[in-house]
Amino acid sequence: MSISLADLFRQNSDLEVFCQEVRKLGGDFDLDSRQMEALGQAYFELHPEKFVKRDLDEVRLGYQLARCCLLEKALAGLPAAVKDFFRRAFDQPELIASLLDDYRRSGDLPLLVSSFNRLQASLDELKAAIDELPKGMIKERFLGGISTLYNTRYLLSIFISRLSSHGLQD
Amino acid sequence: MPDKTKILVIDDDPAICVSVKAILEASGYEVFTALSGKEGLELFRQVHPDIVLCDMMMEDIDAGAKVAGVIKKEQPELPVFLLSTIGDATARTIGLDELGFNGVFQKPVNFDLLLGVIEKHRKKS
Repeated sequence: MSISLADLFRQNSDLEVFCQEVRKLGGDFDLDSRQMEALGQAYFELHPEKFVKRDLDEVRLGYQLARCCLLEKALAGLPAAVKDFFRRAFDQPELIASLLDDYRRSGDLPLLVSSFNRLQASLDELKAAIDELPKGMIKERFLGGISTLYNTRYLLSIFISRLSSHGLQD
Repeated sequence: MPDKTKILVIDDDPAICVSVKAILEASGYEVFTALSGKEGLELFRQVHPDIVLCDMMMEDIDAGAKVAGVIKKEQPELPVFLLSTIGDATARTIGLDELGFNGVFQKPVNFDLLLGVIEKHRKKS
C-alpha cells in the first residue's frame, strides 16, 4: 500500500500540489475512518480551528482537502474516459448539462451510466466511514466535503436519467 | 407568468453554494447565494427571498443562529431552514425554534425531502 494521506499532506501542504499527488495515486490509498482522522489531524496542525472570527479561507481548504481525497477514492477503478468526465462534473456542477451533452456526442453512454452506479456505491461507503468518525471538527470537514459530492451526485442522477430515457434511443 | 420563488442560500463553502444553487435552479427556483452570515443578511435585505437556507458555522461558530435571529426579528413569517452537520441528536437539544429556524436538514442534504418542504412553503405563500 502506498503512503498515507496524512504523510502525503505533511510533505505537500499546498492544497493544489497535494491534490495532484493524490490524483497520481489513482485511488490506491486507504480512506477509512482511521485514515480520515489522521489526515484531519495533519490539516489541523497547520490550520488550527477557531470558534470566533474564523478564517473562512482556512476552513474552505479543509473542505477542499476532504473533497479531493473522497472524490479520488470514489473514482478508483473507473475507466479513465469517465474519470475525466466525473472530475469535471464534480468540479463544475453548474455545467453538468453541457458536459453531459458533450460527453454524449463522443462518449459511451452505457459505460457512463454503469460507472455512475459504481461511483454512487463508493460514495455511500465513504459516507459510512465518515459516520464512524467521532463528533468534532475533523468529522465536520469530511461531512462538508462529502455533502458537495452528494449534491453533485443528485444533480448527475437527474441529468443522467433524463439522458438515459431519451439519449439511449438516439 | 408568476415570479419564480426566490431562495437565499447562505453557506461558507462556495462548492456547497454552487451545487445547491444548481439543484434548486434545475427545479425552477431563483437562487441567490452568500458566503457568510454578514453577506447573507445584506442579500436578505436586497432580494427579499421567499425562503432562506442557512449553514450554522461560518465566520463564527453560531453565525447561522445570528442570521436566523435577525431575519425573524425583521420578517417573522419568512421560513428559515438550517443546513448543517450538527447531527439529529444535537438538533433536538439546541432549540432550533428559539434560534429562529423552521427546521433542519442534515448534510448531506436529502434533496427529495428539501424540495418537498420548499414546495409546501411556496404553496402556502
